[in-house]
Amino acid sequence: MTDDLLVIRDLRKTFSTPSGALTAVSQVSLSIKRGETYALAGESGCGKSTVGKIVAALVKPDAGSITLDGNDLTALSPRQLRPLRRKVQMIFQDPFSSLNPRATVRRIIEEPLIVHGLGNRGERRRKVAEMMDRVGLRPEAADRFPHEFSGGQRQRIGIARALILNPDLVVCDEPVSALDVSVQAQILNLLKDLQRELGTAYLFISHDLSVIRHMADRIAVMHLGQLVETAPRASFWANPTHPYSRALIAARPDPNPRNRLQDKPVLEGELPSPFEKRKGCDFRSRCPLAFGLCAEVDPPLRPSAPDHYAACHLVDEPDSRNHTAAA
Amino acid sequence: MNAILDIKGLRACLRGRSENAYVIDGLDLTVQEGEVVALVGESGSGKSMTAFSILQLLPPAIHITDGTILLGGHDVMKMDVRTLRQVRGTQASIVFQEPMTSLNPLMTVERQIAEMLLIHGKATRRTAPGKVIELLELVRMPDAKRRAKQYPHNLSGGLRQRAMIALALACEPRLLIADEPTTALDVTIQQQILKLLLDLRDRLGMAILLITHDLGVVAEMADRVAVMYAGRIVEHGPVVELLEAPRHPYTHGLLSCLPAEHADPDERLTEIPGLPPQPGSIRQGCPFAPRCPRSDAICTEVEPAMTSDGASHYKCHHPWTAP
Ligand SMILES: Nc1ncnc2c1ncn2[C@@H]1O[C@H](COP(=O)(O)OP(=O)(O)OP(=O)(O)O)[C@@H](O)[C@H]1O
Ligand SMILES: Nc1ncnc2c1ncn2[C@@H]1O[C@H](COP(=O)(O)OP(=O)(O)O)[C@@H](O)[C@H]1O
Ligand code: SF4
Ligand code: SF4
Ligand SMILES: [Mg+2]
Ligand SMILES: [Mg+2]
Repeated sequence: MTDDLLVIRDLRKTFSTPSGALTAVSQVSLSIKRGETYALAGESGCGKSTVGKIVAALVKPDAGSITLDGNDLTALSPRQLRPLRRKVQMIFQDPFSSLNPRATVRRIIEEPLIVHGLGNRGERRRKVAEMMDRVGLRPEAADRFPHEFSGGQRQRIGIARALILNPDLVVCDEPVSALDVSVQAQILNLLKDLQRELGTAYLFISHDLSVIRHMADRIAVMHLGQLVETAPRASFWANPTHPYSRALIAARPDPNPRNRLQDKPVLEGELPSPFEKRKGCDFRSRCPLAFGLCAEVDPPLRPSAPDHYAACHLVDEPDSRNHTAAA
Repeated sequence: MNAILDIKGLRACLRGRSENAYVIDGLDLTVQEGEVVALVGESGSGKSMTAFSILQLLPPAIHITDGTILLGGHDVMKMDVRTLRQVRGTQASIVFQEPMTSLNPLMTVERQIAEMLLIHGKATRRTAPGKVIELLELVRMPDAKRRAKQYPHNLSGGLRQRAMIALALACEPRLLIADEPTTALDVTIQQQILKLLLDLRDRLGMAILLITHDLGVVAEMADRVAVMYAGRIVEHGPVVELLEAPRHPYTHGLLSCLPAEHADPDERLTEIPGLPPQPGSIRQGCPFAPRCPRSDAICTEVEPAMTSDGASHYKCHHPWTAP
């Protein structure tokens, strides 16, 4: 028996688009423990949101299994799925477009209760007021409409709606990317407070490694649909191993005015097209350490430290440590 | 040094609302030749409106009521339409966060840049194609000859941003106004574009007014920083002084909101409580007073004037002390 809440194995999702088949997610496996924050990092289009939507049952995967609390969701009928779905909720990046503009705040927040047939009108009212208070909104504002609220307040509405069913897992897809830093701090603090009180686990999707550093217990870095590194917080920050993870960390704008851009290495080269069949390591067109094998063989995730995995041919090579450290 | 841009006492009013809805309210800002000045502040503080004022591109609902804007020594508010058209592109040009606001989706990259060159007499029909490729190579567009023949939607976000910068640079402006030029891009691409801008500054000697809300970008790029709040500059100074020893409580607050590199993750982030004011809602006193941990009675009564202390300039009655 483990304390794994959600286990994903070999997830794959291919979209058909006018330009051809696009594999958005491939061979993704991960497990999230109860009450922890698991971060998915990576650049836009790498498949983070697709993984999030699959976990929240908003997108159907083409292959792979998702086990929630020991139940294999991919094997259940829609009816059997219904009660389990309550346990996973989602918060979206853009508070401006993710809320129905014609619904009142009350209606937005209570909607999951209605969908799942929970409580009568009075009970729902009470529950909404309680949630609004909990996320820092004045309950008197329940009859107003989303456009009357600022970005940060709208994000609070989204959080209240996601938490009203008391889920075990909330998928937070770039929850603070559209917000100013001052408001970002308010929302991150709120998410942490709620987690501490309610024991909710988060799948925390973000392209911002500074935010991830503050929030996440475990980090997975995604690149063109695949995980290239997964590690617990301490090990990841002490030894980021995949060259792509290192590049992302180095590229992060750092508010120290003595670290000037002129002096920093810049990742050159273009990403391969997600539409084309690819061979070898997907990162090699931009990787400063690429060598012959990288063009031929796709590196699998391999352990580089306890509980720490990276998909790079240089991992585990006896000389690679010096090799990568010198880069 | 000469100022390429010198704004004094600028006020711009939002029409149709109560009379005092100023979105820019007493703004002073200078940019010297070849200098990178960052304009930072929260959403709605008036950064983009300031940028639009410089090229007289404000939306119809907003009009300038007071102040002067000298661009290369000439007052843009006194220019006729023809002169303005000439100035846009040659004296100053803008790149936006969203490249599709300046790129025409129906024209190839080559054609748009060529038209810009022709309009300003910077090339002839015969020399334009070669100049376009030169410009695309200048912004390091990979595979420039092929890309030139493509439409904007054929390009990735980063390449589109490069095409827009090439367009903005076509007439060798002395000032490039970059309004959140990389906010929509990934960090690795952002880094390439920002480095490109710095490179171009060094090679062409143009000044850059960089509008951003990202203090990391400010730290990496800027020579000087101006912090904007409620339509005013509340603090400005050289980048090192401003980021390492902020004097204004708002600047201080913005910096302390950022997750710190080695902080304990269990520690709460510092918040700036509340929200920036709506234009017109501040009638007297310091506009930051409702959110300021240092405010007292005088702050709500009297708007502080710009004070200078060494290289730092700030509008505050109770500034943080210099270390
Ligand atoms: N077309 C418009 N009509 C009326 N008001 C406007 C218009 N555009 C902007 N405003 C208002 O002017 C003020 C300043 O807006 P501005 O776009 O300059 O802010 P900003 O600092 O660039 O913000 P952001 O960081 O979100 O880009 C805001 O209160 C905004 O709501
Ligand atoms: N519904 C869809 N139809 C077609 N392509 C899609 C769809 N959703 C996502 N994609 C594509 O899948 C890839 C991964 O997308 P996404 O998961 O949204 O990435 P991220 O969240 O990391 O930015 C992208 O190339 C995206 O354009
Ligand atoms: S496998 Fe090769 S190309 Fe890929 S990250 Fe490792 S060194 Fe770079
Ligand atoms: S003047 Fe007063 S309210 Fe304004 S920033 Fe300074 S201390 Fe704060
Ligand atoms: Mg996404
Ligand atoms: Mg703006």
